[in-house]
Amino acid sequence: MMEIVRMVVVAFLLISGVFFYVVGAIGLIRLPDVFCRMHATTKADTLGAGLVFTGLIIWQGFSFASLNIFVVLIFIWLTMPTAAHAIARSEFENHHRDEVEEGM
Amino acid sequence: MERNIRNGVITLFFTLFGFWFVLASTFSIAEVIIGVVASVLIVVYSFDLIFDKEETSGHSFRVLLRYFALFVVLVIEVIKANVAVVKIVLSPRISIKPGFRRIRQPLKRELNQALYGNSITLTPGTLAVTMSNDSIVVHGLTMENIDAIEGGPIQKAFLAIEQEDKR
Repeated sequence: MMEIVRMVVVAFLLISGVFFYVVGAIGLIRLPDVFCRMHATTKADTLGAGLVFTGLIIWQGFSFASLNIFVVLIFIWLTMPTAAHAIARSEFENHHRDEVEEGM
Repeated sequence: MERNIRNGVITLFFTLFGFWFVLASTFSIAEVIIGVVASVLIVVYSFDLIFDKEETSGHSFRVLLRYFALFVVLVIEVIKANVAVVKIVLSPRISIKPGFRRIRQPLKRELNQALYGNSITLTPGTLAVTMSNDSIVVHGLTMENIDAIEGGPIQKAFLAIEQEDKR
């Protein structure tokens, strides 16, 4: 019985993780400009990776392999927004410098 | 040796050793010895790189706990952000009013500033674009998303970290 519950949880996590990846991809196509597209891909892919890897960790049980997966997850969570920031910044510096509204 | 530098060295050593242990995946004596030697060497040789004067205090254990609290807040915000993104992307007509705004940036330490930028990118409807010592330019899907940053849970968690740092 426990085994079945575990499999159901793993399946749920994997499927919902893939769902967010798909939404990220659709957003990349549908949204209007570079910045909005970065919103879709960074956010959806971050949670997608989180769900898929959590599913894999539960599938593995508590072992060194699952700890390794957790380390990979932390790196993805750090690098994903950094990459988005680099892309957004280069686009901003080249084309959108005058559009900033002062809110300080 | 100053107290906070000693704390920093101890924390760094155990972090490195723990990381080694996760990657090594075995408990054999040879692995443990290699891990201890490697961790000590890294601490000794990168000592002056990692512990420059302003950065020292951040490595104490209490501050690490605050970072963990930040991580929990961040996970909640990431889930909220995704619900928002899914709503926008899957709606038949996309209705957003994107724009940039420069807002105040209250953090002092460089590590915190970098993490703050990343966290803004991961929270609902906002994207950190460029940043200086006292301000940050944010792109928002709507301007209300940008309003939500100041005084929001992420900013509170970061301010708590810097408070703990000063003690």
